Amino acid sequence: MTVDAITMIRSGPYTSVQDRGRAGHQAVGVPESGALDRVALRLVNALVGNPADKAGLEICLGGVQIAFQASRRVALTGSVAATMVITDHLGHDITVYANRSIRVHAGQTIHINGLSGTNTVFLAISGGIGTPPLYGSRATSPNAMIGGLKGRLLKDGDVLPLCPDVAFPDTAKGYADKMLSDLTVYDASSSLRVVFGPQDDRFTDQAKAVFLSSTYQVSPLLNRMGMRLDGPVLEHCDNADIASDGIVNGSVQVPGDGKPIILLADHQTTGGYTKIATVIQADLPMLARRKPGDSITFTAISVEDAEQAARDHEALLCHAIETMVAPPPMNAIASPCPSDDKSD
Amino acid sequence: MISSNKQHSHSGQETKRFLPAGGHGLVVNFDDTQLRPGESKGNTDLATRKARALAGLIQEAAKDGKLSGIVDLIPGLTNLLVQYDPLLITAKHLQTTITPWLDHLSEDSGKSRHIRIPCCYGGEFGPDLEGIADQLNLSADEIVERHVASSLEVAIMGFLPGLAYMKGVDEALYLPRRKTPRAMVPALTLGIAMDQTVVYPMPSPGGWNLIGRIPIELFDPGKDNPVLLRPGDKIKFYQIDIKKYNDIYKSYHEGQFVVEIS
Repeated sequence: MTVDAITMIRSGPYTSVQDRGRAGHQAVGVPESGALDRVALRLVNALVGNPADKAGLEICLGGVQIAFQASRRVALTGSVAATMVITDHLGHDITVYANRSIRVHAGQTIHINGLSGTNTVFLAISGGIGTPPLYGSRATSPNAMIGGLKGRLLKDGDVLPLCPDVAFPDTAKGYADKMLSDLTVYDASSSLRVVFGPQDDRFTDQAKAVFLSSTYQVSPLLNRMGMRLDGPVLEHCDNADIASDGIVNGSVQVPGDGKPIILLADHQTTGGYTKIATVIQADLPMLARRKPGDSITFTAISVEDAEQAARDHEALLCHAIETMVAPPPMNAIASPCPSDDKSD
Repeated sequence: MISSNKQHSHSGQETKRFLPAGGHGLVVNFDDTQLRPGESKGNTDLATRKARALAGLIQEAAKDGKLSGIVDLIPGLTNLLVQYDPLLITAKHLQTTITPWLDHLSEDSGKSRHIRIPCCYGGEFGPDLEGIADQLNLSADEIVERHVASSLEVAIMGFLPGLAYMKGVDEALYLPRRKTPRAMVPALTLGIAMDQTVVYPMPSPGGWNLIGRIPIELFDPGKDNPVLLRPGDKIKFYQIDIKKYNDIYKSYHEGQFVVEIS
């Protein structure tokens, strides 16, 4: 039996298979991993009719060209400005904006070029990527060498199997492609909200004041493990060593050099350095969209407010999914096999 | 990485029992030297075991449906991180629920597994053995003897899937990590530093003093349960020569060799 697949003609510099991650095994050192932008992941799976647990492609920096050997519905999210170009078998190009889905046919290719306005976009394909799961997740963690395709970032020429296509659930509503009508979930506050701790007591009062009053820049040393920040150093009371403890996404770790690092999805499960604060869950997706050189400031809130922000954010996300509408048709794409859309 | 530094009581600032990690994580701290400054630091191991015992209780409560929204439980050195889903539970509710449990934690579950792991010491597999023998003023053989005689316990795990920080290495082998970490350490290499042993489950940069290599996998994605060790396991290493190493390596990877677990 042949399996439906896509081929990465150009993989781009930092593209990986990601899903919701594999939380639940960090006690034995297995990182949670998963999409940096969980909002984008939820939205984009919903746009193509996928259940929320399906794996797609997280694309940092762009530079991706994908050939489809199967007819599937696709969508791109992560920013309001991102675009992809679909080339049909006659060589005609059509530009498709983010936040809507469209059917791509076997033999067609998608280009996602340089990204503007964001560092990361997420591409979903109906049915989802079908690489072998580990602990129920296909998320790639390159440092741990697990998940995705052979535990690594994608390379030119990689062939990715697809899971069987999903039956599109909204046919009864009269449309198969979907578009977001409410983008407020993407509205980013200018400042990242943090809760002080777990080890804020290891910093001088002045360091805590500096942390909240300074503008930091995202360092070029940015990867899925962490976002290093350039800016004022934060002074410890004595030193940066602690009895190792577990790490959550968004921990702001400050090692001995006083330079903060925001730990992201592929962070180590435990660490022995002080963490001055933690970026709240609702603001984590914003980190995926920050590029090297972007500014970052911090605002401190309480644990209760952080928990409320998570609930408010979830409500926005659910509203965005519930209010998806039929997008304007895009007839310019030639379909080599008009009958193959009958699954809609 | 487990810090070599001792638990500080920070200039009189009392460290709290519950430390927030955003609105999605809560650290439960068992470090009595922090909770009660001045107490001897000998309780670190007990505190680590208490943290593990609490993880067990929370896991059970979650399984029985008495606690919802527990995303993950990560035992640390003298602490436990509870990762939670703020859509399902709050830190306040979590604290209220677990606080009564804290006074009744057993420091040893009595259910620890005992695992014996073969290791081929020195030579190409243990490039630092000769060098640290000079540093420690011991012969290479004495280092191996003391290492196999050490009763180790997996304190915590981290850094890589399946990588265990095993505490309890003979005091005479106490060394810092290397000043300059190696860019790449081969998979299954065993390193020592401080009072601890690690084995790198996969190729990785690493700063530990490398003295041997084991022929069995600590992380095997092909298996139903890919990770061999877990926090609380009691570990003993035993010495094998290169011929035996090759035999066991082959036998293990053909699915024949069974690791001794009791």
